[in-house]
Amino acid sequence: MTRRDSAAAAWWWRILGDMSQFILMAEDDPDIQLVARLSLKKAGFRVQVVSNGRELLTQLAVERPDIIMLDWMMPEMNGPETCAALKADPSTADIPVIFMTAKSQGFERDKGLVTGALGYILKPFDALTLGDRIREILAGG
Amino acid sequence: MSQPAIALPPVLPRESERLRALHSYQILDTPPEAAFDELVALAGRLLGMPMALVTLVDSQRQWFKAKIGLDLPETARDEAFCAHAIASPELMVIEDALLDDRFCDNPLVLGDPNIRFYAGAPLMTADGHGLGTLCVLDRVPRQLTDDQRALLQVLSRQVMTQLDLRRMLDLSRRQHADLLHVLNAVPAALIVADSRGDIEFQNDAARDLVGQHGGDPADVRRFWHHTTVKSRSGEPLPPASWPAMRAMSGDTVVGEEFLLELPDGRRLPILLGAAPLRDAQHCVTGAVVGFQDVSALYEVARLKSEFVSTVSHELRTPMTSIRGSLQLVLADEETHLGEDSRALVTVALNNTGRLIRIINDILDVAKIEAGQMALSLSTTQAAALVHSAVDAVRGMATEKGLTITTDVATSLPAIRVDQDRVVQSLVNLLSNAVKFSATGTVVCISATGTADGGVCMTVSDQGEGIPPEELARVFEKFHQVGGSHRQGTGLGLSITKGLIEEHGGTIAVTSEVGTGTTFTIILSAAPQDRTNTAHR
Repeated sequence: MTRRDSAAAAWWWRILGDMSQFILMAEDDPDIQLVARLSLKKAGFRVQVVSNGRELLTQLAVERPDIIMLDWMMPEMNGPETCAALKADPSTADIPVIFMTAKSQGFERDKGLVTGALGYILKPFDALTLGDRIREILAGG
Repeated sequence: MSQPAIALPPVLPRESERLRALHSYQILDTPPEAAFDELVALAGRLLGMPMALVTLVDSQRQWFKAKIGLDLPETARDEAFCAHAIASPELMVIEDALLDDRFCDNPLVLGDPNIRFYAGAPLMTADGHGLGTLCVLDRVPRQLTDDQRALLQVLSRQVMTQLDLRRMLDLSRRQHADLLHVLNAVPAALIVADSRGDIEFQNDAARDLVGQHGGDPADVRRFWHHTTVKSRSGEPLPPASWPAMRAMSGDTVVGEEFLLELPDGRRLPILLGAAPLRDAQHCVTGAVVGFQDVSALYEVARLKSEFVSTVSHELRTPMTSIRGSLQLVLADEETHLGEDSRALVTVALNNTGRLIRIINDILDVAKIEAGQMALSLSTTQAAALVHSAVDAVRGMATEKGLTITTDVATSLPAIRVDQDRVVQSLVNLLSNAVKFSATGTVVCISATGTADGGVCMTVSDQGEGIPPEELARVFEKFHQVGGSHRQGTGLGLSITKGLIEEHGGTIAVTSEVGTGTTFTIILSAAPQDRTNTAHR
């Protein structure tokens, strides 16, 4: 999706006054992207997916999301780096960040170093309850 | 004109054997030795003779191991009085050589050193070979009293004793050197410690491994004083549990793994054996310790577990997409699947779930084996854990027509554990119990306090039980009771044991065939916090 298309889409959503929550997700695996997008769409979220942290930071300027979801390991800019950048910028520091990650050794080792994440969803996630998990985490569960 | 013909010494009947015996002493052409010098001095002095010799007769000559009053190192065998004397074990006395046919024209008689008197006591081996003599000589004719004859013979036996001792000492030195050579060639470190634990001996491999080259010998002896011995998992061991100390208390240690922390800071994983050394009275005098550096093996184990972990992780990503896709297809009312297609997609989905469980199990095993199981400890009530576990298997039990009863004591002490992991352990035990129970029976889970402030949890079934010969193996990886093909990876109990032990707890099993099986988990009140618990 080009930047112009997404800008147009965002415009349409504003025009239509959709009240559903907007999730911006960074995930490098295209299959997971599709499954997560369809699962969340089914759960009533509006979802935009990008392939890494750098693209996510660019996309932020187009439309401010209600929720940010990050994969842990990604090319260009990984999850923890992206989270740190978001939390360091006062204009984005308050957007809730949820990680969606496999329990890799890197994750287990570095999890303690990440500050500001609201929660973690472990892969393989359940496509039928992914949306519920997000709402649980937002509600403080 | 030819030289006057002298009488040649007798040819000995077992000469080649005698020469072999002589050479076995390895004494010909060796430097003077005090023991022999003193014996010839004593013989010359006691008998009042100007010359005294210890001679040894080889095939060509007589050679003097010790001598007084004579400057020659050796003479030809044909001229030697001693070559005659060794033919018989008796003392040979020539009172006046000029009056004896055998020696009257001997150059040693006619010229320097002008021998007139000779008395030689042969040096006889136990096999009856005369190797040479202890002899005394004079330049004037003499006679010996019976006492003097006896004295000379006693002294000659002393010379023979010296020869034998010398040979035994040589042999034992050679054997000792050979033994050292073997010990140093052994590709494992060997250390001998005395009863105080100081090092008496270390072989080359030990020196190389622990790096005790040169330096202060006292420091080498006190090697253990500068070294810390830890268990494989890195817990420091009290000196009484050190292998050398255990050996000194009479135990034999075989094939145990330890971690050595050397004075230079290196940490060395070793595989070790140790045994007590005892004296003739069977008292322990020290210990011998043999060990090998197993870093390479540890590295292999680490790589293996890293491989498993990486592969498992790489498998999870596609599994996520597959399961998610199947779930969404089945859940979507707009996809009009026929009955068969729906059944097939359900099969695919169920088996995806099964694959994910297997991958999770393998990853858990890899983590436990690599010591990388990171526990997130928090303080909690055992009752809550029991109830979560029961909730997780209730559906499975209902489906099978089983009842699960819970028996949780009131006011249990709080425990500090990784809740997810303890629930996982209990779920493993409960689902096993359900799997092996018949419809209509009861599975019981209980929790009670222990005397020392911990919690004891049991899971019992009324199933078919486990035969005694299999009971010891239930915690082994991939072991399934009765070699059964019931669903599962055969990893569940091995993981459960690993998880409980990671908490510092214990797990045990009792079973009676036809009656049922009980697993018992004991978690102590304050397990050691030895993992990184940093969390959010």
